[in-house]
Amino acid sequence: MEGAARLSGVNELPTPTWNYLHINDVPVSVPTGAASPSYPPAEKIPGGTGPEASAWLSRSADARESVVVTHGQRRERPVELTVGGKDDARIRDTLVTLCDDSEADVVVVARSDRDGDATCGSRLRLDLARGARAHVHVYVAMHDGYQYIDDIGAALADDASLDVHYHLLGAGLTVCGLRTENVGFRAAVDVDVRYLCRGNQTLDMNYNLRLSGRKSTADLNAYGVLFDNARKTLRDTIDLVRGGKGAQGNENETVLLAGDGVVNKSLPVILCDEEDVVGNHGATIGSVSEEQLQYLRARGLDDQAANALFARSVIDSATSQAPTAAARDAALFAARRFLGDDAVDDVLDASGVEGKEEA
Amino acid sequence: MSDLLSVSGLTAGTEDKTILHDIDLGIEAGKSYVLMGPNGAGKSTLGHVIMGDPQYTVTSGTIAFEGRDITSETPDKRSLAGIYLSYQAPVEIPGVPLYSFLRTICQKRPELKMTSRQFRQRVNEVCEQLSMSTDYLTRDLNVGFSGGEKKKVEMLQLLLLQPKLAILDETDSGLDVDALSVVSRGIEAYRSTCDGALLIITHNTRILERINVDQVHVMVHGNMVSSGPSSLIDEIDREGFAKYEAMLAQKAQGELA
Ligand SMILES: Nc1ncnc2c1ncn2[C@@H]1O[C@H](COP(=O)(O)OP(=O)(O)OP(=O)(O)O)[C@@H](O)[C@H]1O
Ligand SMILES: [Mg+2]
Repeated sequence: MEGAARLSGVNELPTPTWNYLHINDVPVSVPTGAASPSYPPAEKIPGGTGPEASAWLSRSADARESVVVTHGQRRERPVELTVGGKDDARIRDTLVTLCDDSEADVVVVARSDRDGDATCGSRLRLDLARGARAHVHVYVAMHDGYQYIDDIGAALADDASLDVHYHLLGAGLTVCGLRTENVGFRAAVDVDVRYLCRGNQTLDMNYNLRLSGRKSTADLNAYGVLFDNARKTLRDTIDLVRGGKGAQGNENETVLLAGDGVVNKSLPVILCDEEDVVGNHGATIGSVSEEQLQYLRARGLDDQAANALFARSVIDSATSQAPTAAARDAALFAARRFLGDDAVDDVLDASGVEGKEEA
Repeated sequence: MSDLLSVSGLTAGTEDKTILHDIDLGIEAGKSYVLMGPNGAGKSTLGHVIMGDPQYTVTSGTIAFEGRDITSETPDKRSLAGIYLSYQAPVEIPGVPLYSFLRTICQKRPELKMTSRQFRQRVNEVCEQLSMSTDYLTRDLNVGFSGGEKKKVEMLQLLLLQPKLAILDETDSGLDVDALSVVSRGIEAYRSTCDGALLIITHNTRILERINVDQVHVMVHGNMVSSGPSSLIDEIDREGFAKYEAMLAQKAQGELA
């Protein structure tokens, strides 16, 4: 018999703030067997959702995989990690090891065929050796009965680079955590987040980018639209650890609030333990500016049309950047839900992908 | 009274400062006009006030388009009616891919109705016409674009939207020679395909070489001080605006006396 357990410290901030903001972590309850979750041992590469959630994912996984990309190899096909669909695993636990100067794409897709009430998840660890390059895409587009936990942890040796592209297009509860560790000399982390959230959906994100290498860089750009009563929390922390001379961090967020009942929380933090960090380690958050809206009006879009454009933009970018068929299907599922059936052909053409009939 | 656009007695500015003083300007359909004036004269402000930018308030006078008073109409309605302002400093919009933006602004106009496939083809054509790679289409609107690339994006929209009136605010500034000829060919294409009217704001006579200018207006310190044939352009190019500043000073003295 499955019971329910409450995971604690999920998506916990590296530096907790006043609790009345209710931003320190997110309450998540998950199905569990007889054993209640015990505190897990420390991981070699920790993930962004925190030790308890990560251990739960690992314990509950019904698909485990370890992929090694050998020295200098460019892996042709992406590592495809799909969960939630009829024939998919429910929870995946994956380790991708990239040897020196190798390169690979990893595509995580969380989808659902019909509404249900399952918890799905992916625990992904990336171990990047010197000069390795990983491109990670995460697509989430599920029915509202689902909750999805995405946990990523990565270690980057010298000159390694990691870019993560999130397209978070809805689930009842989406929890996303990313943590980078041991970022080496000149290593680069680039995170691009695009999201749509509507109805009573909740989206909770925790990005914790720790830069310890000299001249390492981290860039985080988040962009999204909240409709109806959607709730979103974004914690992004760039930690310029002592020793990381010349490191650079950058955080940017634009969020559009398009519903009367939305709850939007953002906590951008730049921690600076090293004095010699160059350049712009700034954080900006903001909504769409009056100047931007005026530009759109001058091109014929009233504010309602502008909102529709912002939503469509997230879908278009999800479709045009989709690296696999599963990712594209997830984007089109979201297109139907957010824009209606009629919009799908248009979205396909926008992505440069040929539409259905090849007559 | 057959003017496409007719601005009369227009005084406008920000909350604490009047920038435009008693401006009159008539634009006939299908004709080309040039607006010149020193930096800070109020040329861009006039463009933005015609477009209905809410950062400026009109304190007196009217703006009429196709015989209809639009002085208090919202900018989106003015745009849909057929007025286009190419921005001197185009705005960056993170999160909005260029293609999504273009498709959306065209879909708002019934006269441009096209299938998504046709639209894709049309956009590709115009990109080629402007020597612009279609790679830009999936990038966010103007984000990280160079100054010249942003100006081309303004031209791209002009060619797609085919407005009845295009106000080009220094669309030529910051362009290299090749881009300049691409843009001036684009302006020619706009003129010939939809017989649109043009109001060109510029400091550079080069962009005007290919265009048949019908009339030149000169603006100084927020006042329209003179207008004349296209030969004024060369004269101003040689002699500057001193004469017009003197004219304004004289006029002001006359009013005081
Ligand atoms: N929003 C504003 N707030 C305050 N002052 C403004 C604003 N917009 C314009 N101005 C002022 O009004 C005057 C006219 O500016 P405008 O940009 O219209 O000049 P311009 O003729 O286009 O000059 P340029 O040739 O340099 O582009 C300037 O003194 C400018 O500083
Ligand atoms: Mg100007």
